[in-house]
Amino acid sequence: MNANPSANPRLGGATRTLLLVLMLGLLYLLAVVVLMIPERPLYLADDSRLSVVDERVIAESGVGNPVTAVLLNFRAYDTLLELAVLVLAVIGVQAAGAVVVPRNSKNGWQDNRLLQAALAIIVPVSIVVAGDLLWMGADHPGGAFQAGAVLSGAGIMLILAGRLNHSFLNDWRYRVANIAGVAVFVMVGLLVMTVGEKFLEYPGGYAKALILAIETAAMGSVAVVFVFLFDAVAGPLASARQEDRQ
Amino acid sequence: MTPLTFYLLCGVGLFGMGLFAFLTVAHLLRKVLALNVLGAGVFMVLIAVAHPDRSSLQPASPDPIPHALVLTGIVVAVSATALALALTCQYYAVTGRTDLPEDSPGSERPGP
Repeated sequence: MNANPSANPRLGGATRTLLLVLMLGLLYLLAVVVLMIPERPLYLADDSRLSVVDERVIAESGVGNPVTAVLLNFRAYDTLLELAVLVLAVIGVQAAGAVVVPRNSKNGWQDNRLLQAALAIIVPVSIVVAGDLLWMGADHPGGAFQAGAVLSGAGIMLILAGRLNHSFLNDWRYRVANIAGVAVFVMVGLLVMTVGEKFLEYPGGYAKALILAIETAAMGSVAVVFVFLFDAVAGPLASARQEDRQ
Repeated sequence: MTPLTFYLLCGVGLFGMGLFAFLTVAHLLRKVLALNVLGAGVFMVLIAVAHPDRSSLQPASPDPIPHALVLTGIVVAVSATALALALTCQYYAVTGRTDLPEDSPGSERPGP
């Protein structure tokens, strides 16, 4: 990609200066407004759940980490839609045709024996770390997305080392893992309706188990989606760079 | 100036840098990068705002909702970045260009 990397040449100097002045004014206003945000969240009503999650409420949520409680219990809808966004991104990237760009499979790393030996340690350790993050997410910082990101790191290393290639796209396990997060989330949401609760309102006592099930599926989805997105985007970018060099 | 107000102002600064770069830079990859810088500024403001006591850095349990929003936002930002990069790659493959054509009536659009 060899276009002019500097500023837009069609943007005149005067326009640029005017824009800069406008931006500085906007920044000043933004800084003033941001500093005006009250320190303590406003209570919208008597029910403090609207803005702040009370510790007693968190105790009912089935997990001890307030962020996990918000993500998977109080605002589970957000997280469900976020997992749907991941699937949409995969569909979008595939529809953009990035996958059909042939990938130069020889990148010089396949023959690197040190990398291949290191992978034998890094990949299992990543899996253990991901499992630990997932489990710890109940009471400490951590959770499905952090665990999925660690797993996807291992997957991306496998791709870079040439151990994993495009054929995984046709593997049914990849496709299942891709939608597992959304699917399990929706199924749990519907399942609790059969025992008289509302959509995604976990019956008391089962919250922890249900959250753990959703998080495990979400971790798998995040991991394979990130690996796919990296592979689909980095491959064409690398081949475009090689074309430029030639 | 306490550390938290510093974080807030840094977040605003990152937002401004990202927005300015997004508007002035022509290369599409740089536009995607600029959007990411802009998003990082927003995340930084949200994280700092969650702290209940801005005048001290005493450990206090922050409001978890902004933190959860940021966690969600990061994942969505990564997905959106990947989609933007895929579209950029395809645009380059089809047109051979890395910037968008100017919208001026009467002028012929370059491209295929």
